[in-house]
Amino acid sequence: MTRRKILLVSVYHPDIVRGGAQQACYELFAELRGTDWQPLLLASTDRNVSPALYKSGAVITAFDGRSDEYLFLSEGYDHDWHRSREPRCLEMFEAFLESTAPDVIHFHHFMTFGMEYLTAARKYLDGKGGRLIFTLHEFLAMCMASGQMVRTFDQSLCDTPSSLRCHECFPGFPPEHFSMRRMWIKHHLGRVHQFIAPSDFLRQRYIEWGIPAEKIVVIPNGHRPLGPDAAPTVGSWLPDSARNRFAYFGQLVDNKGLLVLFDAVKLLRSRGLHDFTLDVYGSNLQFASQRFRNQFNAFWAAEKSANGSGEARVRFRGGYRHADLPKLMRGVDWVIVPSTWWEIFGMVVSEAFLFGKPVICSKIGAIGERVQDNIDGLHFRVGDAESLAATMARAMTEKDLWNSLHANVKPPPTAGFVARQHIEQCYGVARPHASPRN
Amino acid sequence: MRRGILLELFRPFAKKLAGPAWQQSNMGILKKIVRTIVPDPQMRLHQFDEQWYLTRYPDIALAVKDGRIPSGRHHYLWHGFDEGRLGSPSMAYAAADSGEIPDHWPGLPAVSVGRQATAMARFLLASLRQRLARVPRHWIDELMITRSGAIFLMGWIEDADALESVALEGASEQLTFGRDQLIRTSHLGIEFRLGSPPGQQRNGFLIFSASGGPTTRAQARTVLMRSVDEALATARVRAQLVTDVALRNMMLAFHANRRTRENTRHAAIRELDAGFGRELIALNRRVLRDNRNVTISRFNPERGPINKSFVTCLYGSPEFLPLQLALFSDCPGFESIEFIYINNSPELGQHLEREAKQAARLYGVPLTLIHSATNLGFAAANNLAAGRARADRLVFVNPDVLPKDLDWLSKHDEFAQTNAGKFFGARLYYDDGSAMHAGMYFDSDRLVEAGAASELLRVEHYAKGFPDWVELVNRTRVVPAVTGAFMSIERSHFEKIGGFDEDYIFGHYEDADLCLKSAAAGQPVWYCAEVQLWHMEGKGSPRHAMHDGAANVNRWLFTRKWSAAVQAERERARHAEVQSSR
Repeated sequence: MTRRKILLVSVYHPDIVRGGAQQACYELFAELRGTDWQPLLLASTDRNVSPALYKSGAVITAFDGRSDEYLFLSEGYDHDWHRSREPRCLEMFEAFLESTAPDVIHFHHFMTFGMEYLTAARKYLDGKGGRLIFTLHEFLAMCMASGQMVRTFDQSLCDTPSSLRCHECFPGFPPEHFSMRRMWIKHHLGRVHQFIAPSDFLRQRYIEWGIPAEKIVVIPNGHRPLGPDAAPTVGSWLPDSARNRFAYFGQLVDNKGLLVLFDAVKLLRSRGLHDFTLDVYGSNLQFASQRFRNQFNAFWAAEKSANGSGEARVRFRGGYRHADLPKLMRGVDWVIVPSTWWEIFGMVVSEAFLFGKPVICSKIGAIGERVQDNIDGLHFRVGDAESLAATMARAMTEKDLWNSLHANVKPPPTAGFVARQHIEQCYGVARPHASPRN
Repeated sequence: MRRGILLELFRPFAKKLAGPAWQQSNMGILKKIVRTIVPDPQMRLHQFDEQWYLTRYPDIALAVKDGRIPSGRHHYLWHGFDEGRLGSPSMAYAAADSGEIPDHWPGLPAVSVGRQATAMARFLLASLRQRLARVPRHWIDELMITRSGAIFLMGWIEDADALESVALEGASEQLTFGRDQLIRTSHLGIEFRLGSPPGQQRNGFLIFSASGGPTTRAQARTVLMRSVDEALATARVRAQLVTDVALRNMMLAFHANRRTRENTRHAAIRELDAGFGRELIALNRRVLRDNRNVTISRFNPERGPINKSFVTCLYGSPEFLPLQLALFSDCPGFESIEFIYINNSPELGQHLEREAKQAARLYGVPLTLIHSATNLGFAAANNLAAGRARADRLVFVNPDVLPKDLDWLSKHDEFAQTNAGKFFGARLYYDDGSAMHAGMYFDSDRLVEAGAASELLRVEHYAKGFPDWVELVNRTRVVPAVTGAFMSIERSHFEKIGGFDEDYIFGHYEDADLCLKSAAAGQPVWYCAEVQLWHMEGKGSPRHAMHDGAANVNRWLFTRKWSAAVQAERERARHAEVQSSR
């Protein structure tokens, strides 16, 4: 029997640019290989990132000799309107669809391709009764501020996008620009048969924005399998051990709230609490603002100077790989997620839960939804170092707190489970030839 | 810098306060205070180039040198801007629309100190000669000519209104412009320099002719200024050769920035009446005639059948083509439309070609893209595009008009089949949900100066910005006019009434003109409240000073053309009202 084909379209290949959307897409791709579906991956890059991968005259090429993985060489991308101004790329994309003949096309983001690619994909699928699926990864469709829903002038959180409010964030654009941007994006998203949101929080936001509720299902992101040494870390601690080892895993960029964590550390020390450790794992500092970088570097310089030759208890450990997690998690009691933007899933929460680690997180977005306060983790007020310091103090001093939270931590779904969810809820739905306007 | 401006600000303020002029012009001074503290972007003071300004205008340079004016900046701020003088090379570019200005635009590139000294010396020598010869003080600011024979000359003379003619003498020709061709203006900077009472004399003069200029390219000219019976003064001046397009654009920008101590609008209208308007229209007509050649790209021409041709004029904002086609493609009945876009921004041609190709592929729509060689303006471009239409129904749609009610096409078609549907407009909305268009009517402004009065017609929208539930927005009815942003008209009727009048330059008022022509031909214009679309008014194209100038000229033209008819209609309506109340 011929396997049905699914084309996964990903913003960037995760081996070229790291990021949550492409990682989730790639893991799905890997898992689908073991199913009745034949997955193809079309992941993008752009000239700024990997100019050497561009081949004269080519728009789509193979990727590093790997089977079923293809690279889309994005050209002329317009970030204001999220569209490609190079019709040749769209023509090649359409020809690629005709040649590879997928039954389902599943986009993980539209960036680097363009909104029209959804319409082109739908046009192709209408000819064969196929389905167009789109996974929502952040708010870029409704927010021009990098899809963060954080206001550009004071970094406050935005929960009600409107033409006037967007104009306040970008005074160089009149309110009408945002009305038209919304019409443009909604038009093309309107071609999608089924949306997937990794959290109910994100689903609700897009429903409020105008996507019909019945069109969005929630399927959380899965986690990749880890080595056999992962499991023992969960139960390797004695029940009455001091639970004073904190860790941060994630990107070193402004909205992840690392500066709030640094302030909380200073507050704890100022109140005489020194008996704890904090390990910071992360990378991509180059994508942070200059202000953030200055404060980040100043903090570590001060730490270095305060410790002299003594043993540091607050340490910057640098970047990490997924495969390193079992080893790294052994030295951690609590994972802190101090994000100051609307996390739409919070992969780091999954990583912590995978190892039975309770999470201390901002009460915001999907992390506030996934981590239940006083059940499998602790909440603190967003952006509030006092609140975080108090929560950390409680975490390291309250007897049996860690054990009770730890006991409630449930492991996140595996990538295999998530892939099956995709097939059952989205890909496998029988769909007769439909009207193009449905 | 701001402190310097404030110091400059209070010096004349104190002078004015002490004199009777304060009584009359305090509002003007207050306006200037506001303009200084909150600089008007149009003034572009941040771009002001002192050295360039003093070189370009040596009379000002001399006044600065003598200490009678603190600086060129001061002069520009208080007088030069009002006189339509340019403050920097970039303003010269802006005034003439970038891309359509010849390389040899006067004053470019940036001047050297040596050149500045030369200009100053030239002016000093001229002044000295004038004194020795005991002739009236005078100066020629500008002389521009085009190869096709247009001419613009601007200068001033202390003549007590004796100037009867200005002759231009070249190596092999002599052109004379009589009093009826001279537009006399007040010239604030010169009043300042001569110390004459402000606003009492018109020392300035303009000559602008679309066809009466020199026919040779020899650039040095002698300008002879004469009274009835004697030569008053002569000046030697080098003409700048520019293109017709550049001269038209500069004249429009010049007109837009034309502010004098006289009642601003009245003075502008007086200049238009004195021939400036007629010559601008003639020059624009020649630009249209000489740039009628177009390139046409057709996509999916075989698709059909179609029953409507949508005609859209693009200028400056290419993103509207894909946006509009994407959103229209959501509307049932989309397949019955042929789209014709005409591009008035030649520099965007390649870009639009790609956009059109991509959109035609995605939406499978019959699409024609017409590339014009220059900006033809709204009227000529739409006429040209309508001439390529295949359907019997023309729908003129601005690029920033987008569907609000997805079912609007069926409502449109239904109304088009009624007797009222021969020519109608639609209900248009701002993006905030308020009414943008529910038909238009005419009002007028009465301009009064020194006992004389004139009227300028004004087009107003019914209930503009009002909620959409008010009666004026909700009721389908006959209206005096509808906006050109959306007009649906039977093609035969459009042709019968002669299409848009191409005397209107760039845009504004040609839509109302078309409606009045239709009414005069016995077909009133309807507003159809059931057909509803968005209109992102003003976002579909950029706007420069020359566009403001064109809007002024168009309003003047519209008034001169339709004032009597509008007045008669008002009288008829008033009479009908009186009759019905009895």
